Amino acid sequence: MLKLWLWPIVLATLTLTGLISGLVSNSIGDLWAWIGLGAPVLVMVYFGFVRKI
Amino acid sequence: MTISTKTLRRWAWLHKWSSLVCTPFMILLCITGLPLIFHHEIAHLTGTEVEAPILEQTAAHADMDDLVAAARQSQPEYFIQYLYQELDEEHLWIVGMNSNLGAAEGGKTVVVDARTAKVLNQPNYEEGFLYVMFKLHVDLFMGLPGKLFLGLMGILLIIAVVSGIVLYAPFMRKLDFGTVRRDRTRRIQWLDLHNLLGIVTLAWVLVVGTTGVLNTWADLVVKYWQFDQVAKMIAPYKELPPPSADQLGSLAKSVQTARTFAPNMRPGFIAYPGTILSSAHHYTVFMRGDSPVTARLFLPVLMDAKTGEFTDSREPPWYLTGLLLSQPLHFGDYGGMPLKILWALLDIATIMVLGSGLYLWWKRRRKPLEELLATATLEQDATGDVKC
Repeated sequence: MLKLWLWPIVLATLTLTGLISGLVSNSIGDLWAWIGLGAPVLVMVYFGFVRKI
Repeated sequence: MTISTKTLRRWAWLHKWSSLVCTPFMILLCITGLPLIFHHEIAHLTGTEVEAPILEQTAAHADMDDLVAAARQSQPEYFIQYLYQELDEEHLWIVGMNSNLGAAEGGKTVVVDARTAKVLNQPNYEEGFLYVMFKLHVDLFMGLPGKLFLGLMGILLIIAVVSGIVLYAPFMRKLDFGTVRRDRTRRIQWLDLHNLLGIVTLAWVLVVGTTGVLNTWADLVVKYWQFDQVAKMIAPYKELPPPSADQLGSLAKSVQTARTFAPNMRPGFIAYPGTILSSAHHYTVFMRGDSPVTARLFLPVLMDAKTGEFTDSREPPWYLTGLLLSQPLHFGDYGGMPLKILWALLDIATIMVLGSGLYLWWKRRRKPLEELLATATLEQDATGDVKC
């Protein structure tokens, strides 16, 4: 169970906290929004298009 | 945990049909949404955006009455419906005018310098590339029915995503997160990519999808607010005849009244009497706060349009606040350029999920689910239930 859902839950949490933090706070909140939404994008690029196995 | 083959088959059916129906429209929304993320930048580059000139002296803001007089003079055949200020542009007032006060389209837009009360430009926002993208994205050029239809497609998208999460488990159980089996057939590779991109974009798609659906109900929400809260605020005026255009008093006085009522806020949107966002008797000044959240919310203040005296003001109800807060979460316009770029990349990833879903369906459209399950490294127990 954990193996299956750990990464999806981590990425969804990053996304949701990023979406909200950018809305409620400008400087540090925006920074977290970039990290929170940047992480899923990097994960997609790495696993989907960079890693060759 | 196991899930019976019968239940799984039901989820697969739900995923297939909810996706198939909404996918063509979602691809359209993702493609038209892409330039809309950067609408400011595109308008700036193509020279269609009106920008405030740099003045040699820092001027105070002009009298609102001079400002509306300048707008009216430039379009004498039209009535002012509203004045609007962008969140990050205090030097401009965008004045919406129309020959019919209640109409939402077919009007003129006049941009006036808030400091000098000079008309800067009269852009036509109802033409050009961005307008076509906007209309395709919002209502397919079909008005409210188009909006509600796209909202329905949005609900199907949410169903497709939720059923997709259920199906993710049996398909990915024996694989590491992020596995893309590049040594297998093209279909398997796309299945893996579909699962990867789908599960990673999940939260973003749900938020943008849900807030998009909420936005399709905006017109109805505003109408309900009229019926609910505005009706109570203007109850004393119920029997009175509405003022004619030449009976309207000073807008500047009304704005000043609103500023006095809410000293820590500033006017962001002003609706003229007779328009859908005000009553027949009032100037409604929508005041915005100065924190990142309150700047996006509005406190409506109603002033008697003849006298400029305060009539009423009430905190907007939850459904209006919810609608206003759902907008940035749909537009992605609250975290600078980096957020816009991430928004665009997540949008492109969503197009890939939609496209790969369509491809996977096409490849397997005549094969029963059992065969699909057999190739998907599912693990079944003795009773035939699928582990997940």
